[in-house]
Amino acid sequence: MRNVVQLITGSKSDIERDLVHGCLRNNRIAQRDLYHRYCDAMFTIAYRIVNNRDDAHDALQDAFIQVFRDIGQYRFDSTLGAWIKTIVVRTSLRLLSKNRNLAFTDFEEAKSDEMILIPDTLNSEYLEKVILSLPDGYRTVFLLTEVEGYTHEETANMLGISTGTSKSQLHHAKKMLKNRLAAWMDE
Amino acid sequence: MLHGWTNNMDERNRHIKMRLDEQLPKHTADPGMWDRMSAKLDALAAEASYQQKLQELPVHSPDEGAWAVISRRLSRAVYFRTSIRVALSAAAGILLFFTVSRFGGLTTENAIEPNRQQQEISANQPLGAEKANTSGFSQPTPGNNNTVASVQPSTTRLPAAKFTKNAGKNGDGNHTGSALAATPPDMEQLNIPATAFAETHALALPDSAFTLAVQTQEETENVLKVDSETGLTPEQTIALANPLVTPFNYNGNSASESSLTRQLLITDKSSMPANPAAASKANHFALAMGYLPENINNGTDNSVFYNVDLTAMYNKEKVRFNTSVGMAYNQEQLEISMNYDVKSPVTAVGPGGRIDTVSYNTASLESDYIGSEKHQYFTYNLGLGRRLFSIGKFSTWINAGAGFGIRLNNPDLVSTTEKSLKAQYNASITSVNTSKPVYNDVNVNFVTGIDFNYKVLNRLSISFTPTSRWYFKPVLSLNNQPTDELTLGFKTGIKFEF
Repeated sequence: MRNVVQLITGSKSDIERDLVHGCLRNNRIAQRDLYHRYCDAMFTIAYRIVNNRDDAHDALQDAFIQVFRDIGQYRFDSTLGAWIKTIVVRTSLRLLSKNRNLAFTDFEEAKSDEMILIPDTLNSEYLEKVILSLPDGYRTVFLLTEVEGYTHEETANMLGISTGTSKSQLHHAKKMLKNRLAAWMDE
Repeated sequence: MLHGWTNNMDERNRHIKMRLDEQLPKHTADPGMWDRMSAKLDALAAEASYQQKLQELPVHSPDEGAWAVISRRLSRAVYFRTSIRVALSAAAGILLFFTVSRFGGLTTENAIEPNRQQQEISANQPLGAEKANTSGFSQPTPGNNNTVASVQPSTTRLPAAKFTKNAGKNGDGNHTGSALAATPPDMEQLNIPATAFAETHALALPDSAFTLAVQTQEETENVLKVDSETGLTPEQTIALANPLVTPFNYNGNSASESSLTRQLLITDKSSMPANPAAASKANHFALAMGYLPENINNGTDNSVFYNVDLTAMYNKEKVRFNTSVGMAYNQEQLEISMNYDVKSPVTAVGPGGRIDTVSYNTASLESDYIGSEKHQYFTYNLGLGRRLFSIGKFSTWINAGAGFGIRLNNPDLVSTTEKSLKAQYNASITSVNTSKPVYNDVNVNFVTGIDFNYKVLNRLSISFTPTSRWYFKPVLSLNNQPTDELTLGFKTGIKFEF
């Protein structure tokens, strides 16, 4: 009851702290609350990376199992969501590289950033389809840097590539995205 | 006034200003400036729109059953971890059991003292029965001498030939008697080794052995089928080859065993188990007192908990049930670093010599305190034990059970120090730094141990028990994590058997 009241009235950090402490005690209700709090956001990330619903479910399950197992390692030095997101991203990338040969072509580093014009009339579902249609290497770098907001250093670290490769992959991903969006606008 | 003067000055110099304006060069913005600015603004707008669109990407939800799958996997993981621990513990226990059992080829059967057994058995048998079993052919009773082949209960070493001759003289109508009476020459030829009849005082049977005296024709025939070389019947040969045949099998299978076989089996060095009377003595109550110092990690160091308990146990042959109540306590030294503000009044002598408090000076202080806390727990244990082996006065048991502890007191040095500071200096505590762990109200554990007992007196024994405890609910926690889940200790104690 106390937990429920705190969940209603407490601040975000208080709620997170309570959830973490509940999970530390293997309290299944706290684990369920934590899952429901973050499942949609994390599933979306996993789905965009692995580009397949079934694989995304697998990644989500593995990631949350790891979250509950390793929650003692969470030190409250970042938001809980960011910590879980890192686990989900890493799990999804691991699954993606296991199921498909995730290769990154090392292009020459881009000199200028590619600007993408997205018309207001563009449907967000269609935009996602276009993003998901990108090759795996482009897509993952694009998602991690542009959508999830990781720096090139962080992205490169997670993917096991150099920062330069990450930047060039992003450049080419944006270029391809731009061309595909232009094609849509022409239609 | 001043304002009006300034306006007049502007009016007067206006023509100078206008002339200067005309003389200074005129500059115009680059015609492409706006285009560049416009392009830049377009780029910014496009970037904002792009970021906005990325933020608006659709959110996907996992299927409804995803949590159920995760929950099941979590449960499986917990069961798996628990199973692994239990399996490892069981494997270690079994390994230890076999190691100990095989050490010196000891078994529980061998551990029974033959001499003591025989004395116990003999003590429960009437003299007549002993002598009857010396012969192995009949059960003599005072009023029944005529129903069986007569027995000469006068000697401790009874030659078979003499026996059969007597049987021939006294047998009158009994199956056994007739058969034996009819076969004195054969019996003489049996030539049974004297060792088979050695030390007849050691031979004994329960009262029910009387029925064994009634022999069938088949048994009599078996007696006659003697080996020409050894002089033994086939059953005797088998029986001699099987030292584990005991008076208990003897009773239970009397119809298929010959009396001679029984007779041959009973020797001084037989490995007979205790008779029923002795077995009942194995079931008894005992009381024991134990002392177990137990090291529990408190997050920074080890804290010693002293366990003392009184155990009541009921022994039922190789198994025992025990329950104990006791106390556990520890004394832990704590270092507390406390920051606090002390307000001291600033006074002044007012009118009439009266001292007034004008204001307060606040001094921030930090003090370190060292003290000790004594925590007490009531403990309760419930368990089972299994005897591994015993040799003479020495016996070993393996014990397993569950233990519970309930906290009896709650000494809190930190709050006591805080109260003392507040009361003494009117201080307000700003921060407290201590690594004191949380003492949980209840702890639950799985306890195992191997109990080594040595009997110093008839009913009194001392014990030494290496003990391990695995805490489901820990004694101490730090940041909601148990500080120590598995503890090891050595328990010593004394036991009195009733």
